[in-house]
Amino acid sequence: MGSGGAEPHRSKTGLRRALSGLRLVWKVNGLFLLILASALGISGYVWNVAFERDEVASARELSMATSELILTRVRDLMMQHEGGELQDLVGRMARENPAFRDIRLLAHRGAVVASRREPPGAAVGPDAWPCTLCHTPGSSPPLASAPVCCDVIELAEGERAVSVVTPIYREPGCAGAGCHEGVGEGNVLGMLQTDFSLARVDALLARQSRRLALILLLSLLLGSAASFWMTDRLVGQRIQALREGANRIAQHDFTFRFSDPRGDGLAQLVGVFDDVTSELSTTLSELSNAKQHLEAIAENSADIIITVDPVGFITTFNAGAEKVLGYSREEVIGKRIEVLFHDPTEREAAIAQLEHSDHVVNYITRFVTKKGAQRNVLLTLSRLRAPDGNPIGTLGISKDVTTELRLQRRLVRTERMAALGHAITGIQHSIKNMLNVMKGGAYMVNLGLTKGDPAMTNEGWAMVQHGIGDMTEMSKRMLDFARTRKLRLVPTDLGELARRIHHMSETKFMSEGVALTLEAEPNLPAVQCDAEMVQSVIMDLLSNALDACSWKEYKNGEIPEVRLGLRHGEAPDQVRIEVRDNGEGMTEEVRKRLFTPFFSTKEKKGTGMGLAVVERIVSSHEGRTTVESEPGRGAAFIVSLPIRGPIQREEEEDA
Amino acid sequence: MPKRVLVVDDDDNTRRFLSVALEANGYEPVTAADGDEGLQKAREFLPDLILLDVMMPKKTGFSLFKQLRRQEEFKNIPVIMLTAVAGVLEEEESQAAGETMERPFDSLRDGLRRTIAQMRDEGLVKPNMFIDKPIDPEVLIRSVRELIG
Repeated sequence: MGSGGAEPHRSKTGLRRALSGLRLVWKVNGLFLLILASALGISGYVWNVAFERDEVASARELSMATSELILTRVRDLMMQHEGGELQDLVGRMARENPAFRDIRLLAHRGAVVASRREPPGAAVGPDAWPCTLCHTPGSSPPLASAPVCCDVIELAEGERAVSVVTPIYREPGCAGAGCHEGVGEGNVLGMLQTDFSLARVDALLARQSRRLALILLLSLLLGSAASFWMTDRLVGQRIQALREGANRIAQHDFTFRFSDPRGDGLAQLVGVFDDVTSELSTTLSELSNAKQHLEAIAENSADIIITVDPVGFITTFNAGAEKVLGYSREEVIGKRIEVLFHDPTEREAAIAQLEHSDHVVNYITRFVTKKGAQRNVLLTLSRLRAPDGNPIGTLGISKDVTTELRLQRRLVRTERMAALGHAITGIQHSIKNMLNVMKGGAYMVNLGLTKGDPAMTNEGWAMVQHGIGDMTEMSKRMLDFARTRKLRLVPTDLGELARRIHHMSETKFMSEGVALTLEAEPNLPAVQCDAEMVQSVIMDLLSNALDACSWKEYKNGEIPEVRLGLRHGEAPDQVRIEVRDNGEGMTEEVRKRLFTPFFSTKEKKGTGMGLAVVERIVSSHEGRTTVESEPGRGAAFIVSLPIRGPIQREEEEDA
Repeated sequence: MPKRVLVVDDDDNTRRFLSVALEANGYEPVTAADGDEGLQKAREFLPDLILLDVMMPKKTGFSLFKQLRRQEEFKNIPVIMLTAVAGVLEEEESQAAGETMERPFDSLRDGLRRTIAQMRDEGLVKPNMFIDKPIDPEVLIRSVRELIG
């Protein structure tokens, strides 16, 4: 069953395959002709049937009329007992119309009374036409009456005929004739059979059918030719052209246009095709322009642009790369990217970073040129991915920063030299001022000794000692700066510390005519710090503030003022120490260099070490020192200290 | 009558030993601790010479110098400026001659040189002399003597 079901399916697909191989025009035409042939065939058949029916009907009418005419004559002859005439009559009637195949008169026992084709005295059997109309074969029940029957019968030799059978009834006034003999019951004495041959009709029909078939064939041929010509012209050629156009587009020839002037549906279709082609052409040309533009950017960039496949082989190498690295692209494309790295492990490290994100920005590494020179580069790596997300390689854009790095190093060196210069100048000034006093003191000692003036000698000596003291102080400060002392951290109440400092300094400030005020916010937390160092920080800042006031000319009733403030920090875990003065302030230039060692604006007094040490101490507490100032308006030094104190690391403690 | 010398310096010790040295050499010293006092004392005592410290708080030696030079009564008084910045005038010319060796520690000297150049541009006469600190009182006295006898 299964195989039986599969067979027709296979043949069907075979047919379908055969059909699909045919040209469209052939398929369309085949279908059209099939429909045409069916229509013509059906109409021809219908016409033939109608023709036959008409012919048979007229044959019937003719036979019936003839039969009735003969019957009338037969009855007359019978009534006149002219039985012998019957033969002649039948022969004459049959001859008069050659269309009659036979006219015969049968007695009721089957004896042929008259016939054109059979001799008198012959008899037909009870089961022969037309006896079977009344008698069932095998028995002979006499009928009282019989119908007039008209039927088409098949004769021997394939001939057809319309056969009219009319019963002959007993008539009053005639009972002695031989034909009544043996008729017991019923009135039927015999039968008149009139056979009208349909041979001519059949011949006509056959001729008609042949003619019809010829016409059908001719019209099919003509129809096929016309239809093929039409479809080929209207559809086939244009489809062929469409196919060629599509092929040319497939070969990237976008100049192809149909420009079909006809207005039918196919012309609209090719119009759409033209539009699509033109759009495709524009899009492709834009794409190609964009591609060229991008390639030009990559190519003309001074940066080193290299792409690498997922395995690590170089796939592109731009002009910038050629210029910086000295290789031609032919030399390196297909080579491993590692040849360009001074240290291939640096590439591995960069690629490892690429695993986490698809980008590594400004990775500092070194390339090596063809000649073996090193180039410092900033490498930016991006993973290239196909639209489906699979990595297809890596793009590396590197900037050669060798020159910049060299310049930067030179700049740093210069700045370091400048800082050293400032420091030396500062130390030189301090020493000169101290020496000045000592030299003057020594002069006075000499003068006192020469003149025998011990008071002057003593005064001079005091000056020398003062100078020695200043120098000692400076060397101690320098040592402070150079040395890192281990912090002695204790929870410290800075408010208490500030009050103590205020108390200690008030007199000095008053003697200089400067007001010193203390503003401490209540409830400040204790700060983990080295109290002694923080005290020295505050004292230094106050001392600076005092100097800043002494360097300014106060006008319009303004009085010199220094405010020491203690506040909660900006962050909750910080405390701020503020020292504000309304002294001479400083320029931006000075502010920038404030914490540089040995930088001083004070010719005779400062060592240039104060703020450098302050900064050092604050940093060691992991705090921050900031300065706000405007020239002529004063300055504010703000020290923020973390409440928890610095997290001391082992190595620092060791140091 | 002894010649009068005004000493303007904010450092007590310097004022003191300079006074002692001047007095010991027959001059009459007058002292002032800052620029304003210096101007006031100059007006009061009309000194024959002024020793002026360059670096002073409030009013620098240079600004006092400019003020003095602009006033008719003081413009001819010789001024010796005292500075801890060495060799300002000597190097001015070599610098102008195009010596470009980089010396990053020269910023103070540069500042001073600019100030002097500025004074010259303003038509003010330069100070008569610069004396570097530390001051040797005997050298100073010799210089004073050269200027005012």
